[in-house]
This record gives sequence, C-alpha cells and structure tokens, in this order.
Amino acid sequence: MIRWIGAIFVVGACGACGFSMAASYRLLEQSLRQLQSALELMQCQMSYRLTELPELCGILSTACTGVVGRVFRALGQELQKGECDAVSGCMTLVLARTPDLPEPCREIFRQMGKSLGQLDLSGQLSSLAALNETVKRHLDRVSAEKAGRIRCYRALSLCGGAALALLLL
Amino acid sequence: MVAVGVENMICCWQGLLELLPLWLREPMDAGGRDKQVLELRLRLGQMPQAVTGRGEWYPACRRIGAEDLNYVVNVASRYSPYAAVTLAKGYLTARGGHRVGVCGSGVIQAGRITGFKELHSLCIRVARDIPGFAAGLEQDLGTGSVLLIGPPGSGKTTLLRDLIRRISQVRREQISVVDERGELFPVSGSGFAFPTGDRTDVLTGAGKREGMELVLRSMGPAWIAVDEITALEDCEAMEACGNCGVRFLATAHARDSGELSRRPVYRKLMNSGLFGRLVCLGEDRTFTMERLEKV
Repeated sequence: MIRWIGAIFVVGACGACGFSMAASYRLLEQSLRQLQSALELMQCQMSYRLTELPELCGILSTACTGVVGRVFRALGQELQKGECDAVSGCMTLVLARTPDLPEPCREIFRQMGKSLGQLDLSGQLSSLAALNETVKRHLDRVSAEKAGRIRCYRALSLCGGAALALLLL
Repeated sequence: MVAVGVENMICCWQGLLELLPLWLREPMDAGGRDKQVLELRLRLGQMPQAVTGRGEWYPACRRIGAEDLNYVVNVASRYSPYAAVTLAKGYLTARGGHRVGVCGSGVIQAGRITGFKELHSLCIRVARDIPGFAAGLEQDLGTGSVLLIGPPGSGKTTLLRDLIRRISQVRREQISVVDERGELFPVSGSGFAFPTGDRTDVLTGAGKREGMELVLRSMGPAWIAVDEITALEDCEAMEACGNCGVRFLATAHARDSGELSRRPVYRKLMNSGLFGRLVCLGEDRTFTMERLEKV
C-alpha cells in the first residue's frame, strides 16, 4: 500500500515539474506580450508628450502587470532616487533584484537600459523600434512553439514520473 | 535708486544639491548654504568652483571627472535627454529652476548643434527668488511696455519674477508669462517652485515668438512677460503683438540705454516707441528707472 502511495507521489511530483515548466513557458509568452505593448506605449509617450523616464516608468508599471510591471516600477523608483550615473546602472540594479524575470525578457531589458537616456528623440525612438522588432521575433518563435512545448513538457513529465515509479516499485 | 535686499531670498537648495554628484553634495551643503552661491562651475579635470556674491569659493578638493559631468546632465534632464529640447541650445533647466549651461564637443547636423557627445564644462546658475525685490516699482510703470536691462548676473530674471507677481497681485491685472526656459516659474510637482500671483498664466517651454502669439490669442492678457529677448524675430513678434493693445515686460542684456541702442537687434524696437520705461540694473543689484522717448 505504502509503495503505491509513494508511486503516486513520484508521478505527481514529476507531473508538477512538467506543468510548472509549461506554466513558465506561458509566463514567458505573457511577459513578451506585455513588453511589446510597453515598448509601443513608450514610443507613443516619448514622441507625443516627451514624457520623462521616471514618469514613463510609473505609467508603464500601471499599464503592465506581473514581473514586467514590477521591473518598470523598480526602475522608476531608482531613477527618482537619481543615484546612478546612467539608466544602464539603474537597470542593472533592478534586474539583479528580479530573479524571476524570464531570460529573453532580461536581455531585452538590459539592451533597453543601455539605449535609454543616451540619444535624442529620433535616435531613442529608433532604438525602441529595434527592440520592439527583437521582442516580436521572440514572440513569434515562442507562439509557434508554445502548443508543442507545453504538450511535450506535460507528457514527458507524466511519462517520466510513471517510468520512475515503475522502476522504484 | 533702489537697493536690493536678500534677506527674504528663496532658493531651492535641496534641488541644487540633488543635481550634484554624491561626493560633492555634503561639502557644498556644509559650506555653501550661507554663502549665497550664484553659480557653480564644473570643469573637466578641475576642482568645482562656486561663484558667490563675495568672490570664488572651492567646495571640494577632488577634481571633476567626465562621469561627474554626465551625472549632472542626466539628473538635470531626469535621464531623459530626448525630452530636454533645449540641450541643443546649450542649456537645461533642472528642477527648482536652476539652469545648467553645457559646453563640450558638439554633434553637428546640417550646420547646427543637435547635442553633445562629450561634456567639458557645466555652469549651474542658481535660481533665486526675492519676494519684495520690485516693491513699489509696479506703481510707476506708466502706460507703455517696460524693459529691464542689466549685465549678466545682475538679477534681471529675479526682478522680472517679482514684478510679474506684483502686477498680478497689487495692480490686479492679467499677465501671461512666456517662460521659454522654465526659469521664471519652474514647474515643481503639481505646481510652481515660486509663487506666481493670482492673475498669472505661465506658458513653459514654447519659443518666445510662438508663445507670445499663443497667449495673446488664447489668454487675453493685459501684459505679456518674456525673459531675455535676444533674437530679431522676438523683437518683431513683440512689435506685432504690441500693436494689439497688450503691454510687455521683458528683459535684455545691456548695461545702459546707450549700449542697448547700439545693438542692431534692439535699435528698431527702441525706436518703435513700444517701451515707455527702462529699468537699469547694476552689478550691485540696485536699479534705476528711465522714461523712454520715441526717437
């Protein structure tokens, strides 16, 4: 009886791992979508209202939810403090404090930190448009692979769990 | 001749300190608060130099690095040089109205400076407000426009700011301010860093010509105030608007009326009869008033 209960736990644990990987893949897609809309909003705010970065980050933190919103909120707070030499310094601090940000998004934020506050308006808008293209490429790839990957993570984890349980039995 | 008192001087000192690199804030705060700092000059490879009413003063022994100059410009523009449209003209207006003059290697496009790739020097001019500076002056403004002149650093902007308030509060007349550089009434949070008066409308950031036409069209002012008229097109716009029944309150760089009339930009304006009063500020912050006759 105990062996069967143990086997159920093994299958459940492996399944949870797979489902968690699938969930993080969905989170990646969601974060990329939020980043894409944030970049579009940034371009609009900059070109029409010349909104300064601390205020812009505040606007973006309310427009985006989850981890992307948190990054913008923390960046806005760092810029308000005004203790870093440049935006890239503030961004490095913020990213170090946000371990749950998916890696592709982290890289995009890093690039964003390097380009923000360095250029005139047209240069700034061009760099944001280039970042938007990068996000779009990531998003296309993630969306295309999403269904297959999620199915794969779930099936593999359940099958792997069942195999492990059989071995242990 | 009226002497200018500085007992009531208001200065956004904290705003000035926040502009400075972290290592410079403490020595500046410790020694500069009671010295009436007028300017702070930061030059690459040299020690920071403060210009006070009593001479020069060096707040710290450390030399200024490129990262310090970048830091000041970043903080002054709130990390948003794309929003600081005046940077191409060589200055930025920071929180509290402090003006940061910029010098360095310019980026030239189509024959015009569009930005700076390297910074060599910064000149931070400390914004000050002295309520009561123009006390009584508002009673003697006559019927025409008024021009305030004086050498750099004599307090033209400070006098103009107080005179705007007094026209608004004491004479109870509507006055619109075209504050191109955001120095007269700097925006601070949801309001202004210095009191404006109850009948004052402030247009910040717009060019003088465009701004004067806008406020004349939309705000119905009795007075339009502008700081530092320097371009011919500003003078032409003043002449055009002046014939619409509005009075001007303006400042210009000149020591006296003779120097003013020798400058071609102002000569035509002076001869037009637009200005009825000339207020001349001295380096010792005293001022005298002259009546102007149409030549």
